[in-house]
Amino acid sequence: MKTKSSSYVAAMLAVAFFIAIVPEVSAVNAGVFIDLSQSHDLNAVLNSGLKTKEFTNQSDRDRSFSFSKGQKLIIELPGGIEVEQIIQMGSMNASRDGKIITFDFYGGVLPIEDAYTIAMSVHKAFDLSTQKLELWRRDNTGKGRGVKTYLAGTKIGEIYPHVMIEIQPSNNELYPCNVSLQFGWNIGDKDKNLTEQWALEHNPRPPPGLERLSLDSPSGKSYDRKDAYREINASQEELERQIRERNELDVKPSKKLQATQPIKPDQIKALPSEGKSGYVWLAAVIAAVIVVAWLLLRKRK
Amino acid sequence: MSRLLHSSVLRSFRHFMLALMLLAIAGLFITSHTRGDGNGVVSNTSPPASYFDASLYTPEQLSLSSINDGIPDVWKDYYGFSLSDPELAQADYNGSGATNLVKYLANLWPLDTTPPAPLLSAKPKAPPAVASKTAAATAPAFSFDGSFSIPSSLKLKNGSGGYKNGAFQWSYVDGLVGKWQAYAGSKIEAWQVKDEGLDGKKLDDKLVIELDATGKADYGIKQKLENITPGTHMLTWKDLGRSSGAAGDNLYGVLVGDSKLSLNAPAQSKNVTARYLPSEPLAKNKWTSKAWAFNVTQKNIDDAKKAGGLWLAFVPRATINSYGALIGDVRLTPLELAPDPLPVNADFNRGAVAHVSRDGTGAIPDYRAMTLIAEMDSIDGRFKNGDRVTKDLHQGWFGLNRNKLPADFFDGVSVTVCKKVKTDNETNKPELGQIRLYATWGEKNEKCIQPYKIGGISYVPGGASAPVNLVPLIYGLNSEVPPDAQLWIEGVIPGKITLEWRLQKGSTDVKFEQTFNIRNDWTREQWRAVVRDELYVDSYTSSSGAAINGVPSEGLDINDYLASGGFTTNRPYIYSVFEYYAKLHAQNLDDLFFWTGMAKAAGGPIYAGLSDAASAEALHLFSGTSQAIQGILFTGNIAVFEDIAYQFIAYRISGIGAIKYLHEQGELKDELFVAWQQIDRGYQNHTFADVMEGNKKLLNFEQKVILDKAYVDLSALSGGYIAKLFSVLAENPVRGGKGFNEFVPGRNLANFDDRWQWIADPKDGMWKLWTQDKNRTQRLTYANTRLSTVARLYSWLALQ
Repeated sequence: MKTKSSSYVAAMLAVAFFIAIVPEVSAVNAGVFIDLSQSHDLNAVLNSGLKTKEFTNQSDRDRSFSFSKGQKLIIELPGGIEVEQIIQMGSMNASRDGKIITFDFYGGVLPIEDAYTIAMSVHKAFDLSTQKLELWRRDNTGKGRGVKTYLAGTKIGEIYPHVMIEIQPSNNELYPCNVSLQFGWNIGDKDKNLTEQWALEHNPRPPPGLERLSLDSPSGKSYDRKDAYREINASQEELERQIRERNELDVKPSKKLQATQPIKPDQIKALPSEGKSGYVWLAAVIAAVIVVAWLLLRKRK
Repeated sequence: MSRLLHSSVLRSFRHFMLALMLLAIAGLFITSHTRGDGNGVVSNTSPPASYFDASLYTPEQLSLSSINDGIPDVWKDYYGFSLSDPELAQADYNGSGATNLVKYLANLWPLDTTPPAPLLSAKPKAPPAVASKTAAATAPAFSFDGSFSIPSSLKLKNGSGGYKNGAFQWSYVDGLVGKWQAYAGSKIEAWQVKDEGLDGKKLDDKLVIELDATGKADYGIKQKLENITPGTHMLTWKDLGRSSGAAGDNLYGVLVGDSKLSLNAPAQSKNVTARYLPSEPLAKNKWTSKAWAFNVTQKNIDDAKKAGGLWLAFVPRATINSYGALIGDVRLTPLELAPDPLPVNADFNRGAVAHVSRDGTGAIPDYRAMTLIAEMDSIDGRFKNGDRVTKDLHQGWFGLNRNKLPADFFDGVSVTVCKKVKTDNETNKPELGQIRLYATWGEKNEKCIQPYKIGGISYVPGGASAPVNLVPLIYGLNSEVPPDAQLWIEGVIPGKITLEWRLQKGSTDVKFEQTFNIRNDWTREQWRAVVRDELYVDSYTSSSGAAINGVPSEGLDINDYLASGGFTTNRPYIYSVFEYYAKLHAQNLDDLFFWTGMAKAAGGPIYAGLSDAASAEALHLFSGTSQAIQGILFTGNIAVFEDIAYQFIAYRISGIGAIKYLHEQGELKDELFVAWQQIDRGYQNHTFADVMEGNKKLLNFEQKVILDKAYVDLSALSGGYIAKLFSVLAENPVRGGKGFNEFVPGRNLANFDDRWQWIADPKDGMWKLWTQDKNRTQRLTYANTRLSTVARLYSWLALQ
């Protein structure tokens, strides 16, 4: 019986864990697919399952949205080319009549060589000159946090929508780049009358092997910003440990002085869930409730 | 002890965090270009702030090369190169593909550093042989020779009868006279006019041609217009009637067309591009100056290529036997066009600037100066107070360059320049551009054509407003401006402007219009160089408070502002940068540049926070973390600066045209371009909401793309502790606004969505407070308050 009940609890925990975790994992793996090949209607994004937040004031002429991090985007453009990335941040501007004007996103931190490799594939897919990119690589390799922004794009009116690839400084010494892609529809004099139909007829077809571009690390690695602060964080932790020890030795401070003490993380209200930690907590609570209920039921029996 | 420690730690973190938050909101414009060692040849002095200007050196200096490698010593010295390096001329230190010799000849930037904005008019004096080869290889110049020189195959018939003083008969089989060709079957009489006495005046011993029909109407001369370019061309010449002309026997015409120009019926010729057919007979024995302008299009040129090119012909029209007319002194001069686009004179040459105190509006860029005379010694020693500075202007004019014609041509001439009322076809608004026309001569004399800004004068053809002659002092017998004066055009206000140039003299009436497109087609790096120069000049002062704020009495090079410098080293730069924001905001642009005003407003708490942080660091509290935080702060600010500062300058100086150019060149993202379009639309249509929304889009972009990385990086520090403390302690940089934790309790400042809600909430967000709840006067007052004054309100410790 004991074995049986233990197995049951374990099974319930596993189910709870699965319920809590798997949807997010599968969402990241499968990604959110947005078809912008036939139109650039706002609804194509809003109905895609992408988590968005709107920041439009009543008086604003345009609507603006942001996309929260960790979502995997797959976007199809006119002509069949697809672009995918697990985003760090994304945003969109759209007109009041429901047409997207700009769509912009960037992914996680990358070493410079990864960023260069990704950018190179984008250049090839959209037939951009790579000369400037090579110069950027030459001038920025080894610069760490001092890396400069790289920006290149298709010519307005030659490819629709307008595509711009950017390597942004990530602010991180070890992984100094983020790769960003942006699309713009009917933004200049030269493309103001273009349509998806025009794009289907005129946009260049991607070279073989570049029909689907990934803007994530070519090695598949996920880089952590904290790596750049490993020593500092370690020494900080050591210092905090020392402070805690001194606190324990000190007399309990007065109320007045307490108000000026630093606020520790556990004193701060829980922040909104970032990723799966919230689901794990939920799963644990659910599991605990189930276990208690099962134990109570068993006692009554 | 622990309480003390905690209190100090809290304070130090608090101000670091405040600094980050406020810097983030304001997007502190700090530049930090790593000063590369370039080529290894450059000495450890700073690279020059502008291109080598050959006009500042004597011919002797420019011809002196210690090792005779084609590059003068002064050029090498200017860029910090060795004077004796034998490999210098063929080296390419910045990997541009051009050797240093080529860079000298073409005035290119030779160093491995960010190039400044280029000089627009100053070019080094290239060795003539190389220069002429280059010119010939690229664009063959239009040439026209109207003179009639005697070919050796012809003999003068001196003396007798109608051929007195020398003349000859010239047939098409005799070849060219000068560059003129006789029509087949023609027998042209050429006269050498010497003491001719026809009107008591000599024609400088020149040959003239008698256009004498002699009843055949097939005589004439023509010259091929080699390499003619599209545009308006003015033909000037002199003529004289050999008869009374009563019977129309001295009439002739001038034709421009392909080689098949018909002589017999020029008025009906189908091959004629332009024709001049006066109907009034010429006065007998009286030389008269004539002028005629014609326009040639690229299509005319292309069409004529199929039939032997374009030609110019003088054709007698009379069909009776008579003496006809003499013609001479023929000149064909293309009317000048200003470059398209004509840039606004925006290059801070540090000589023509008006130098004002830090309390005022800062250094005034060239395009705002009303004079070409330097108002201070240049910082780099190239100019002295009172020198004339014209290197940033377009040299030349539009219309007829009078230096290409004899001064007496303008006797009795009336030349007017006036502005036409036109609608800009891109904006559907009246054209807004402004230019200045200058004439300079003598040592330091100059004349700015009245009014100094052409743009405010309207000319309504046929209306009550008479055309205003803007150039009365340039042309004519009583001109105050000597004939050898140099003429200049300066772009002042971006946009378009259409001017009409008109010449009237007797029966001659030539009109010529040009639409100036005033815009700087500059790259991002060129605009950044302008920012850098502007900051340098602004900070070049020891007046009013510079010393107490740590700003030295010499200019600051913003490229020396490094993220690794720390607060103490960077303090003068911070101060200078925020004053720069205030200037941008105050220069009548408050209604456009909300962003910069808010940036300055946030400067006080930022300065205070960094000052306090520096004090805390001096106590050795969490020094590693403190340094990391500072590194994050400064790096984020550099990113903001590099991303957006140049955009404000480009728009301020050159309007939406410059922004469009940057976008077309792939140097400006779509989202930012859309924002600037909206700002400009608001400016053009006086719709405040558009201006605000455009500014908000800029702010949004900087927050979510540029600064977000700084926040995320902060989250990576100390297990997220720093970012959370920021969230709790962040105060509102707009006075009266709620702090972050009060506004959105429990949220994370490092999360863009939370942060943006704090900033842009429509009810009482920071942006609304600044743009709507504060009126213009309050914004200006707050932004113009001295940085240190505001900083003291936020500072906990003694301000550094």
